[in-house]
Amino acid sequence: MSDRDALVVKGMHISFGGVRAVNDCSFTVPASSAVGLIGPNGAGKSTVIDLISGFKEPDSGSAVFEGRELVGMKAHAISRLGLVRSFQSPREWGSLTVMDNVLLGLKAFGRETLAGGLFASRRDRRREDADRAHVRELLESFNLMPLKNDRASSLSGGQKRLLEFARIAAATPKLVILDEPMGGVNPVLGDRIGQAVRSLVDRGSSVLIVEHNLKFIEDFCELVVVMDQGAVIAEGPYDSLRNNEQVVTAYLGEVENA
Amino acid sequence: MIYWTTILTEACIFAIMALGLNVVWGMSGDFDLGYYGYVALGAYLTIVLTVGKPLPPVEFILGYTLPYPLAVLIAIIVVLIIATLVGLVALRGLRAIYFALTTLGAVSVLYVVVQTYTPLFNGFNGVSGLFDPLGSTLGIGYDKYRYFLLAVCAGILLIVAIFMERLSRSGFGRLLRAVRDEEDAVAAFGRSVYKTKLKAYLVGAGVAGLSGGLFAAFLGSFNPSAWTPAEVLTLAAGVLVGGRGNVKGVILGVFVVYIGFVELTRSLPEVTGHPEFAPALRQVLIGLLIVLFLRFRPQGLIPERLSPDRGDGDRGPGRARGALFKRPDWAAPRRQAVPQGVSGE
Repeated sequence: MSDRDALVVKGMHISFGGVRAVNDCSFTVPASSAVGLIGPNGAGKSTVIDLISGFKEPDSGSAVFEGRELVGMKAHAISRLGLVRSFQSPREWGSLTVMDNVLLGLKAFGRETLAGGLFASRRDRRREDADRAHVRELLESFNLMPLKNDRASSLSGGQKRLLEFARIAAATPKLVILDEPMGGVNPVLGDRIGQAVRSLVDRGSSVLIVEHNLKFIEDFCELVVVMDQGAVIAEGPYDSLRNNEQVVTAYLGEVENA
Repeated sequence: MIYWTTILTEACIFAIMALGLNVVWGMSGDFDLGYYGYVALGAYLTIVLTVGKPLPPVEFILGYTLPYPLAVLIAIIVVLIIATLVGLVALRGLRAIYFALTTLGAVSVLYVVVQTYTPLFNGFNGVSGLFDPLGSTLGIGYDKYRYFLLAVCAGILLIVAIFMERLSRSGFGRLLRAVRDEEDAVAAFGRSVYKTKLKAYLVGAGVAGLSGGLFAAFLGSFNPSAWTPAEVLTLAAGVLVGGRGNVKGVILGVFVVYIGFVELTRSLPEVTGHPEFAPALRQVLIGLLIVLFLRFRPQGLIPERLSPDRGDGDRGPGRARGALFKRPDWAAPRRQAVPQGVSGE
């Protein structure tokens, strides 16, 4: 592994019952880049994300993030290292306001203690005010400011996607893993989400994106990893994979002929 | 007069219990069916720590003659230790109904042990002899003591309510509600779901132990007929009727359920030859109340309030949604146009 790699996944395996969902999966996410992870339904993409982010434990294999082995670590501990993931559905905290949702994205763990809740000091309150000012700027940049005091559950699907990006931006992660960020999103908002991905990369983060929308992958990702039947079958820039026969049969073909 | 003082005192004690249950159930979202076990332990321990050695054939553990406040404090600490042990098992990976069933199992075991193993708390006959704690120390006579106890319980209720309100509005309260809404997202943003739940569980248990100590002073004695594992359902009815997650709502709900329901149903006519009929009917009515509220007003009388952000002069509609009465559409603050491409799905 070189210093330029943000994430190195090697030999991941996991079986559910008799099904090998992920079978010797290995790939690399270079630092400060956006990588698309594509493949047909059931290829094991979402499972790989769960294995990397600590939501599932692999049978074997390793995932090294900035020199730290992630396998065996708890999901929240992995997140604290600077690896933040999203889910296929937005998973907003529905009964909280938009503002509160983004406040919980901040790495302000020390301001959420039980003791702090019972005996908040004046300094704690000043810090909370500073957090709020920062979150307002973030909400402004995602056009969510008019909705800041709305219950997150009342937002539309597209607004929930934007809220998710605001929440991720608040966490200032080094590596972001997005699970189908374009799911249920209209084309105009799609561009906005693409810009959000690029601005994460511009700020030095790496992004790994599972996505079925190949146009989005082509427009916003430097590299593509193609999975089929639990294993990586090809890696490289999008253009180089167009003519890769294996890839075309596994995935691109079925889409382009459709 | 004494009658109403007694009822108000009891309602204050139950309101404190309900505020503890509200942290676990209302804010962090787990329905703790074992909650009343902590109240019972608090009550038992307070008595055996204050009334001195038992005289045969009565038997129970400890039998110290500690001052009442110290006994309550020790009772709370012991309850916290036991709650930690239960929480370590029940909160790790168990959610929703599985958590509820595990806690029901724990409290049922406690109930059977307390009832059948007499050397612990004198079995079915229970422990007694806690007579007007602090009364003689402070020189308060029997006639005035009922008012004194009401004042103490109301004061403690106020203090507990203030702390709960602070907790509810704090970053910790925000985190608890996030755990209730979406656990996985909480972990994905670097917060330990398990630790957060355990902390909330201990806050609840501590409050339960405290209310148990007050309950012991109120009753003077405690035995298995003073509590059953199902007691928690009456508390839950109070929390639900008032409004889960809302401190004021929970207090209101308990007063409504206890005074308006439990006390008024005491006047139900007794059916000759079936003395158990009226208490059974009361349980049925409480069950009905729970079902009706779940169906028609699950948010309770005073729903949980959002805490709106007040910066930048933008006063959003957050308050209106949480209020008792909804603001009509024409009175809602005018919003900016929805950003391009955001609304259409």
